[in-house]
Amino acid sequence: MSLEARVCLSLGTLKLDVEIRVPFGEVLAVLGPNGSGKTTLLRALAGLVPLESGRIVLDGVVLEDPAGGIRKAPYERPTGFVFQDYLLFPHLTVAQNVAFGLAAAGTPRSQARAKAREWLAAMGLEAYAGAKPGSLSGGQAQRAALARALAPQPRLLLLDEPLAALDAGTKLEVRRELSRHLRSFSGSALLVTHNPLEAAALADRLIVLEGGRVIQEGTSTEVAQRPRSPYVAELVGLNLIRGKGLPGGVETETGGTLVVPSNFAGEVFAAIHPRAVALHRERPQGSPRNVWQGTVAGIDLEGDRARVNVDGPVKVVAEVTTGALKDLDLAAAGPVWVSIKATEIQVYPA
Amino acid sequence: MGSSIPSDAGSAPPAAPRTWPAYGIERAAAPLVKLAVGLAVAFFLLPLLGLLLRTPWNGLASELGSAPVRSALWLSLVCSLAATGISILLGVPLAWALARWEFPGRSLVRALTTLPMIVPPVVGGVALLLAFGRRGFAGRWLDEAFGITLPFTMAGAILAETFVAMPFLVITVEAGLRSMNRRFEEAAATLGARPWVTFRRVTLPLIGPSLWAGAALAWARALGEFGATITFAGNLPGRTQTIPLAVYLALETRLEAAIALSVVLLAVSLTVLIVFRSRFLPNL
Repeated sequence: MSLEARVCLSLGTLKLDVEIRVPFGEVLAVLGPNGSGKTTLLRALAGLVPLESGRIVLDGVVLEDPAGGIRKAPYERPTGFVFQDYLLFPHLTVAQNVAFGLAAAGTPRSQARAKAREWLAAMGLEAYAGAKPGSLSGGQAQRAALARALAPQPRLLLLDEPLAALDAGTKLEVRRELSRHLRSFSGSALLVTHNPLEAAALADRLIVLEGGRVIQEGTSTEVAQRPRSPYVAELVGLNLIRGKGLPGGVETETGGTLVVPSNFAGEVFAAIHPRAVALHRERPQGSPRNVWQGTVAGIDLEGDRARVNVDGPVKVVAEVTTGALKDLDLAAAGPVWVSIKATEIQVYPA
Repeated sequence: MGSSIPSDAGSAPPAAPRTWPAYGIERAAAPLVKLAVGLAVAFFLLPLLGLLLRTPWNGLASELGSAPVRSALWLSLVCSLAATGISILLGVPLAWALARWEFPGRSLVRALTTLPMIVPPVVGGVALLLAFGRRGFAGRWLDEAFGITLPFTMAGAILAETFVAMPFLVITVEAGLRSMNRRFEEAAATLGARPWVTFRRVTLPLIGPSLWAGAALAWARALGEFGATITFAGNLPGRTQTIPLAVYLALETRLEAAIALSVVLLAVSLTVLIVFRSRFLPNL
């Protein structure tokens, strides 16, 4: 009762080699930068691109096994696919779209129609049954696409950035609904996303793809606390510094040294929350063990907070209030002092 | 999560949109261009006026009601619709292959398909005669094996019309297949639709506008076909004498009938143009 797959294929410059296991009832989020192979992984599972090697087994049934000469066509696989741009058939009504999979499976027309109506009711779209998809709002189209994918009762649900095309206002509400439908889905589900918050809200576990390989996996909390690549660190908003463990410190790749509260040996990651990085115009006095001089390389404003990129022996991002930004006059040139308390630095083996 | 953007101190200001100087030559040439435009428009408009001014509007119904004219109209309708039907049956799969399959000689096949649009119809008729005529290699075989003779029969007229009309359908449908978003077909496949179901319920409706336009073009072309028909099928009243042939013949004997039939063909062309105006005249 699970999806077990090893997907190996190359497509253009991408070389995908991913192994996943998703028990029924679980939602796995797939994160990764553009071109990391997220969508290709979904397409391979759906049978839209062939494997070069590996195997796809769903609930004990081999869907694809190049070595064994098995390759089920997309229409022979019990999968539902929610595309990023939904791909609702523009010439059919919303109800006909939802009934499409049932009709294709040979369900008698009246029965397919009744089932489609049930799904539309579950999605709050009864009023749009006879409408063409072109007249739906983004959130409604997303729900219609989900209903269409779920109606034939797939055992594997694939969602390719299902919320990416929505504006911020509707995103939260649609996400809540999507979460509800994913909870009640009894098969395996994979969800491609760029957004770690989305992954945390919708998925039980997540994997991070980079360059066609899984570089990290775990629950969203695990991944958020201990990022293992600059991409993930940036996603979850942490400073990630790679270095060598010394007694009581970490020697960074750029030649700096961080004082940390515990001893580590070998290659380590040090994660620091930007809020734990303090900035000063004068050399600070006091308890922080890590103090160095740097220069401001860039400032991003996010609401009432600012993220300040500081170049120096160790490159870090500091999060300060816009008030502090003004007081420190950071927009002006000149050196700044960085200080970090040793206890704010999380160190874990690389 | 906002990614870090370097402070914009170093970035260049956005480039101003590039504008072209108004060349003086354009202004100098304007009168000449206007003259040419006037001449060209007159050139298209005057023949139309000539036809419409001479049309016996009062006697139109009786002209079109006479037995030989009625039989030409009927024959034209049957032959052109049959030619359109064959064009769809053979042309859609051909357009599909040209749009979707990679095979050696594909551009050659496309060139061969479009050739009848460029070749003078009379030449097409001669070629058809040499292939499908009683003594042509294909014609002799058809005669001996099945007892089918094509030249100077209604079937021959249909064949000649199909020959000149099908390219219009193939080209239009191929363009439609190329421009359609194939991911809709993938979506159908993930919903369990087998290829034939996908074709019928997704591809065909999505290329519907192209198919209709192609069929209308092919039909209009078949209806007006003259050269290939008269060469290959002859000019036998009631069997192969379609409207254009009847017009040509009537020009010598009964001018009113020729004009009436011409007006019918003109009306058909205008109707096709108006129905598919969004396709042929996107700015109208």
